[in-house]
Amino acid sequence: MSGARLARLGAALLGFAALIAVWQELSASGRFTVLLLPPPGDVLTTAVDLARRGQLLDDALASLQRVTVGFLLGAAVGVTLGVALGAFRPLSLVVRPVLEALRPIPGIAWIPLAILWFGIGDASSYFLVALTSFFPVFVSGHAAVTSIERRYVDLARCLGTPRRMVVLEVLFPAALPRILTGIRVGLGVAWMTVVAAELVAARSGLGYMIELNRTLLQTSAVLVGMALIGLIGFGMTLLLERIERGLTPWVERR
Amino acid sequence: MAWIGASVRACAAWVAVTALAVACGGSSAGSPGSGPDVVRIGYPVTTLINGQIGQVLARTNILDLNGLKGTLVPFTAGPATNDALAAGSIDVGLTSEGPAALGISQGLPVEVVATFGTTRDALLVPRDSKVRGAADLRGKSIGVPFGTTPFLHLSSWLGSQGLDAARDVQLVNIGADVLASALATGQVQAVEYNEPLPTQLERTAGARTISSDELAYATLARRDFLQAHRDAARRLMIAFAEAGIYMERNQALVDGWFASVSRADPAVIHEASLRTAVYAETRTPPQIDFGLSSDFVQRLQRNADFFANQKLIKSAARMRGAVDTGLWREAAGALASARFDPAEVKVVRSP
Repeated sequence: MSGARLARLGAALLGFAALIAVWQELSASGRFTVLLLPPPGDVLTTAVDLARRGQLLDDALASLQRVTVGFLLGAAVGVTLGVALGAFRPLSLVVRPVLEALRPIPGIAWIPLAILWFGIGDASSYFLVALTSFFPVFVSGHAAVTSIERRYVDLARCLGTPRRMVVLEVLFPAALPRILTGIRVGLGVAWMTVVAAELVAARSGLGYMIELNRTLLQTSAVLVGMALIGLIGFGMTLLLERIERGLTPWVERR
Repeated sequence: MAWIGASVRACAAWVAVTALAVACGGSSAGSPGSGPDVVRIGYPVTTLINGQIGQVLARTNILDLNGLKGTLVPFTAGPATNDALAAGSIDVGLTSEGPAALGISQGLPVEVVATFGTTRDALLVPRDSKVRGAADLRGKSIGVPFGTTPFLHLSSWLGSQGLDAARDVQLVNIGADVLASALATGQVQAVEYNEPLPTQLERTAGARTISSDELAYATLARRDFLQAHRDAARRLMIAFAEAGIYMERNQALVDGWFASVSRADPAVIHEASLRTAVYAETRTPPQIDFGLSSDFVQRLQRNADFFANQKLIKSAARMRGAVDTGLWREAAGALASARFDPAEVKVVRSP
């Protein structure tokens, strides 16, 4: 591991250590009862207990599956439609106003319809995650294509580059960094949505686990669910960043 | 550019004050400095009697007549009331036996101080359902709000019928306010909840009852409120009793109030309420008994033990240590000598 990487890792660990120290200090201050803010040690014990019983893995895998399937669907449609509407203005004039009108509707507002259309279970979660992760990916895809400087395309055409090559060698590389940023944002939204969906429309998953334990006043288990969502989401973001670096080596990064 | 610095400092001060206010928001309104007669009461809008008494207190001057200033906070079900009690957002919560036993076992800093009697909770299926008994429920999904008394009764009943609530059926956590629509649209094949939902589904949709149980109401008060404001708590008990008498004398009015917040038909509310003693039989203060019997305490203990046996909580607390039987006795003494005339009560807030 390089020195720079080690420094980054150290800084990140320092941040987590500070968060846990503040948390421990607050829970030990006597201002909050265990019901309101259990100490980190209690939460860790609960996590170990839930993991031993296998519940934690089952719920984490259920959520992960919903996020993965829903997000892949939403991202695929988002990239395709964003690039297509960016490249073909007449199509954009018809479709984009509709999408822009749908975009401000929060994912949570779709939950009643999702339950009616798809019932309680995986399908409604897939739909909700796909729908909400679609929009940031679509917007970034569309913006990526429309913001490409025209002169690059014109230059390629002047040099006699075939249309297919212009798309693959000019448009796509120029748009890719922005598209990938949108995909990362979409992934974050996917996690937010899956938790909201599982609160009411599922029988498993970390959102379901959080809501169940809330009703039972098991605050430490609620925090276990939240922490796990954070960790899995963080891990997926790191993975995406790595993929991003591999796909766009020409982009300068600090 | 000095104004920029001043603005930044002002913003920082505002953020600090807001953060402090938010942090202090959890403290009891009855704490010293905010007046001993202020009481914040949480009540459910999906449960009979608790909901009606909450409405009477919210819309009349009964609290005022007892020297109290009340803030009435509506909730959908018991677990949300427990959350508010834990956070210190309310001083008193009108709930039922299940959330009470659960909350006390989980360390909620409360005492049970009264009970408004019982009502029915039931497991219902649509009129055309093929489900006739417990055996037919295997593989079916049942909607019930988790952590509530109906959830407890349903889990217990399934066990008594030889069904495992985790494996043989699918219990789906659905909010009390959307259970009827969940059943109507086929999202679940059965629902379990307390009155007025069973009467509403039987009357309006021809739903069939597969099993029913008796739900006991429980009123919880935060310990810090009871310790600091015992007299106010005692007067609140009197106000509850007077709200019960007012409800019995003004059934159509109170049913209308409750129907407006629970979005139910007033006729359904009336029909379901007639099955409860506090609504149908309470005419004079001596007839009212909101006191906690040993049977009630045993019932709470059974609930807590059940939650623990099902491994939903780590262990059951001793319920006898969390009941305050003295408060109602103190109030009942004063109630017997009080001269309460429901006709003198004024409606202070219209629907």
